[in-house]
Amino acid sequence: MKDKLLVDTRPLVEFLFWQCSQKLGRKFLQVGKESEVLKTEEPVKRFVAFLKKYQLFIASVVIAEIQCHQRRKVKGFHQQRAFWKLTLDQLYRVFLFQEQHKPLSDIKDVSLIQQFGPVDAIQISIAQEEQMMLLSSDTELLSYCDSQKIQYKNFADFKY
Amino acid sequence: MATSQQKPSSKRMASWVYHIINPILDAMATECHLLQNENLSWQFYNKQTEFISRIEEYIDFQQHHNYRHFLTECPHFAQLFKEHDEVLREAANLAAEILASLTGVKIFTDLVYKKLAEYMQTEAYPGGAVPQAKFHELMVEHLVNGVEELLVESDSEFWAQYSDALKTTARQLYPQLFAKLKEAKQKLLGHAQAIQQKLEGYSYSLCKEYDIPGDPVVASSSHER
Repeated sequence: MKDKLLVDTRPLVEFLFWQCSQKLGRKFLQVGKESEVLKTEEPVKRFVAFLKKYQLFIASVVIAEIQCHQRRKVKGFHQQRAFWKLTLDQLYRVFLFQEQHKPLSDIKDVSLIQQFGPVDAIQISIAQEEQMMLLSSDTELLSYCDSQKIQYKNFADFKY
Repeated sequence: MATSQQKPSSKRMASWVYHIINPILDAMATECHLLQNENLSWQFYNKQTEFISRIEEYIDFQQHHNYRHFLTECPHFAQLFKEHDEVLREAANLAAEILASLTGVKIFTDLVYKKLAEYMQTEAYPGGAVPQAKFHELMVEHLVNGVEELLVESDSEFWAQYSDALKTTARQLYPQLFAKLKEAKQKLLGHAQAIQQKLEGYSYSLCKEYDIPGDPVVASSSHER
């Protein structure tokens, strides 16, 4: 049985944008300079090899955050449809992500929501309860994971 | 190119540029990128091309009256779009015929599952969410799309190891179908390039004549997470 990995928004968005530009052409998105880690083939390969080792999860709220990035970076009717087709295909057909639902009302510690916002508070809560490793690039979030003995992986590690 | 007696207004022309011409130009750039690599983006499970569509599907449905007017006043483009759609349908039909033909012959399916068994002696099932019983159809999808290398997909290693054998067998079994498919892809690429070239010229002439910018002027939003 593989260990569980909960993937945060930034790693997913960088991967999806990279896949878009590879599959649909560099002109499809103007996001080259937006990606901080997955800029070339090598970090993408390292990232994918890492994903393959785990049972993959995504918090439902993260899907909404992907949409925020899509709205900013993917313009046009055809492009938006293509982006979501590719996203669904990659997340659910290729990488078998499972959505993890967690209502905000389950989180009793308001300071957690105040400090990290609702999305990250939900992710922290899922990672804690389900014993998942959290993959993120948010250093504040990762520091908190460290302090709480939640397993984590820094997305920036795939850069080099 | 507009054929109406009265000169169209700049507002109307701007809406053509922004809502009809620009989206089609962007879509043609995607089509050219895919087809230059002989990729039809065809999918076995719905027998449709994922990223290549009929021209009208590239237009936001809220602009369909604008699109209808554009076609009425620009019959030359209407004809080009019709030809594009016909070639696309022809290519998709050929892809479906290849799928039906290859999945109907034991020699091909046996080869796929023999190689899969060989692979799974040391590795996990490479088909992702595709059920094992449909794995041979996924392989046909790659053949139809002219896939040379898969970089990140779950079956990338399987494809790297066995694609040569699968390609050779498939093309030996149905050489004419694969030749026709290749021809249809090239024809479709030609149509996409022609549409791109003619629309770019028309867009430029409209922008110049009616003094409209190539893209709408919008205030940028700085909010981002």
